[in-house]
Amino acid sequence: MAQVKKRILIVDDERDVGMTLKMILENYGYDIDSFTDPAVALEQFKPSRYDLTILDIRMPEINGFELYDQLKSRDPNIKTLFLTALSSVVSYNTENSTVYPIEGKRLFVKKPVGNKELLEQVNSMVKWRSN
Amino acid sequence: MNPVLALLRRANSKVILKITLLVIVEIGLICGSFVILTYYQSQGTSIGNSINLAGKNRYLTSNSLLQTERFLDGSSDLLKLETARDNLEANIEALTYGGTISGVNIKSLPSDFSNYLNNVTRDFYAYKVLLNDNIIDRSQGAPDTGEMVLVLKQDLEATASNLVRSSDILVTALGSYADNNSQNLIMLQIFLAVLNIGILVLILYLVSRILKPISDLTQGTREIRKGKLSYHVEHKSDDELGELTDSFNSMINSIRSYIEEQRRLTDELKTANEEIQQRERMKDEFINVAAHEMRTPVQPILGISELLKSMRHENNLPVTKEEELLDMIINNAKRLLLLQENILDVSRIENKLLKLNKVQCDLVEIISTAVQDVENQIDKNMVELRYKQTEANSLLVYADRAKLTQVVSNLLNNAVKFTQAGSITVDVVKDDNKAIVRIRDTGTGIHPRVESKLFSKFVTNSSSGTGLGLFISKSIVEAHGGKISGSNHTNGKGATFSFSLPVVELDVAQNVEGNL
Repeated sequence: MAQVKKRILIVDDERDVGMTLKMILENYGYDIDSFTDPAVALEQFKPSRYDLTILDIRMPEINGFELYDQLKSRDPNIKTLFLTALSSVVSYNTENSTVYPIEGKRLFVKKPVGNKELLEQVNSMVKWRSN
Repeated sequence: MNPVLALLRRANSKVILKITLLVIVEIGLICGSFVILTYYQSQGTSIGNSINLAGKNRYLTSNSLLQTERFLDGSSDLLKLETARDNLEANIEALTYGGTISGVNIKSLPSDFSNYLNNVTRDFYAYKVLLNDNIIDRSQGAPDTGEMVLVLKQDLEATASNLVRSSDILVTALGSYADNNSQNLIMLQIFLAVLNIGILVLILYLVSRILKPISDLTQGTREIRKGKLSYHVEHKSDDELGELTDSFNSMINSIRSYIEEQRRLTDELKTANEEIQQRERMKDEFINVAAHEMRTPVQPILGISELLKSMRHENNLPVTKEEELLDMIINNAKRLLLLQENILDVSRIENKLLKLNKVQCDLVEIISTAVQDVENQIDKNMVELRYKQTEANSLLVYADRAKLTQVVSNLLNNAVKFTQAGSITVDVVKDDNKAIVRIRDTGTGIHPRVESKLFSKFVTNSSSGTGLGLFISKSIVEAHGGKISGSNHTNGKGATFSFSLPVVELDVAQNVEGNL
């Protein structure tokens, strides 16, 4: 069966990090658009194109949260996985967010994340919409 | 005697001197008033006596005339006539020169009355001469004829009446004088009373003036107690109260400058302290940023290594040396992450920022997961890992799940690291309200060098450890209200590490479960 590939948008200002995530997820059958510049990502963003967006939080000029807000205004159904090295952001949002896991639209994951865990989180979030 | 000596010894006290002078003035005034009044009184009495004497003249003159008549009648003798005359003379002499009459001390009359007295004396001598020349000195001679006697009698009566008149004038003058005197005495008494009261009031005012610095100083202490250290007590006198004021003011000055100095030093300390805190904050911030920045490069290292490994699996390549090398990369990248976590944890603990997200969790489950995680690190041919579960299937504690997992993993990893052969036994038991987790190994044990400071920072058994794990574990366990300990086995083979945690009561646990 020619299953339609799920498409994921990755925005991380660290080129190598974005590349790694792209390679790992491509290896597991996802179609990846990867950007290092949030402004370019916004420019090329097309609503309903992606099953998931993976955003770095700490980026120059436009940070992950700002980017999320702009993307969401253009695609209200957007699902986002935030990646950050700041453990306090992860624990704060995980503890205080009523969005996750009830809505399954936002998730905070601490960097670096192991391939196995990344894949699990990505799979569950992508799947959530198809429920 | 003693009070006098004491007063003399204190004579150098100007205050006492001032007050003593005022007291002397007051005493002098009272004594003076007394003397003046007594003198006036005695003057009055003396005039009264003189009035009596002068009044007595009338009687004595009459008596003398009566005796003369009787003598001339022949019914009385010469002696009686002379006695009457002498009595009258003595009375007039007493009036003039003073003396003692019938025990009463009589003073001579004041010169104001000399005119009146001269009249009396003159009239008396006229009477006396007439009496002596015509009767007494001639008494031995032949008696006079009836006509002559009659003329003599008329003369004597006229002179006597002159004497009586002048005496009466004197009495009247003395009476008006005495009357005046007593009027003056009343005025003087009133005047002196008013003067005494006035002077007493003045003295009291002066004493209060002298003692004013004391109330000024009292006011000063009150102001200073309120914290008004700039208060200055005015110097008002040159006595020792003035000295006291001066030394009070200089004492306040010293205290003020001492406090200002202290304040300056405190400010310096505060500034220095703020600087230190600022540097501490910068250091913490640096550690925080550096530790976080370290994570980013690890993502590609870890991700690519794992990707390579799984790609090899997918292509069914045989396990080779390359895979072992990939594992080494992965393990060391993980160690780097652990180290970074530890540094952040230590930084949080030392800044008291360690936050616990306490929830109801099952200790048995946490240990199972941690045991599973270390299982694949163990060479199962050499080391046996045993997990003895407690009689209950679960043991609920109120704890931060991630932090508690960190403690268990840390202790397990240590056991794995130092046990080359033998066994690692994990068990968890409930003892009263405590859960006790024990991890026993048959490894190399705790080196005697580190035994006493096992849970301190940077203390490590091996060259590869950071010496932060046990320090962090201890802080986490203690933050949960538990205790941690570690010791070598007495047979010299291996060590046991254990920690305790308070257990949630069953009914409480059920309630919580029910609410979920």
